[in-house]
Amino acid sequence: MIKQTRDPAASASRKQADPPKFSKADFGGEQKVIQKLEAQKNAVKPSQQLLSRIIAQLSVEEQPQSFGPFYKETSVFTWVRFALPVVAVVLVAAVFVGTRFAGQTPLPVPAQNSGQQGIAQFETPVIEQPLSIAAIETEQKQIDQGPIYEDFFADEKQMQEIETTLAGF
Amino acid sequence: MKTPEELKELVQQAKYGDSGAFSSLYDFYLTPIFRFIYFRVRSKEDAEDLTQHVFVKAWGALGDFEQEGKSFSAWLYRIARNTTIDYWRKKKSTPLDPASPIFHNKQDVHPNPGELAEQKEEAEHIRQALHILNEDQQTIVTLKFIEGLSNAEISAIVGKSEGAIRQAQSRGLKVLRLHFKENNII
Repeated sequence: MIKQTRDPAASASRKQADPPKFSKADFGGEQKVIQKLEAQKNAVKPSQQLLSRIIAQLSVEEQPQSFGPFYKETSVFTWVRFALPVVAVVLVAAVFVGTRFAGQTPLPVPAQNSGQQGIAQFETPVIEQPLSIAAIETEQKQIDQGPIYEDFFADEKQMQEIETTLAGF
Repeated sequence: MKTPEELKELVQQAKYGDSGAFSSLYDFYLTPIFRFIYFRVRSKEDAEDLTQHVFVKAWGALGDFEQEGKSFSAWLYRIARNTTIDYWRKKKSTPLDPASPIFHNKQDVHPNPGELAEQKEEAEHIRQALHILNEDQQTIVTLKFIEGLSNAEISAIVGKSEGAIRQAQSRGLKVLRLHFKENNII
């Protein structure tokens, strides 16, 4: 194994050749740069016309601030920001009402004897109240006597005309 | 010179549509904003156009500016910085014109024509030298050494830590020193 040793003379000469990166002289140089830059503060100014130009343009520009402290509230973003919670509340209310009263509707049940095997057929059951025989007879009687007819066509002449027309058939 | 409280009050009034308060604000900030832009662009004419644009933008967006814990000047400088970045994006392909006209200021504090010419020349050299720096260094060096802002204020404008600001300043100054030496400016 070869052991590398440092040559003190070479190291010293290298140190002399590469001076440290930051020296007092460098700092002084940067101070001069800073002074040059700082001097520009009083040297550069806009022309007098610029101020008049800005005043003229601002006077014709739309003034959004004229809405006052609530100007911000007039922006589209703010309207959306206010509208979103309202929409959310309405949606939640709708879902609540929907689920609350959904239980009162009879659920669809599988139809019996659907005629098709393997496919579930659903139908909503229709609840019918069967009429009694007495009720059917009363209803028929009313139809035969024609009370509705008479009530509806109060004008007798008109009724006769209709009856004549119907007799023709 | 206005106190920070007075400026805050003016900003509040301007926010609620008081154009008089806003005119006091641009009276106060016109020169610093113009100067900041001037060292970042090619000509005085461009700097004036962009400065005008900055104030019109600020007037339009003032309603969205929230004062709590935020500085109006930092907000304004941010608009100015973004405006110059947009300017360079548009002009990226066009080479720099070294003979751009500068200084037609009627209100200059130095009436001596010889001195004025010397100042013009130096300002032009410095402006061209600043263009060697990258965008961050340009902004930071201009705000620190020409505008005289603190590192905390610069940090609020560029959105970087104070350590990063110090580093950019140091690097920027080194580049400028070399450039000045090469061109016998210092």
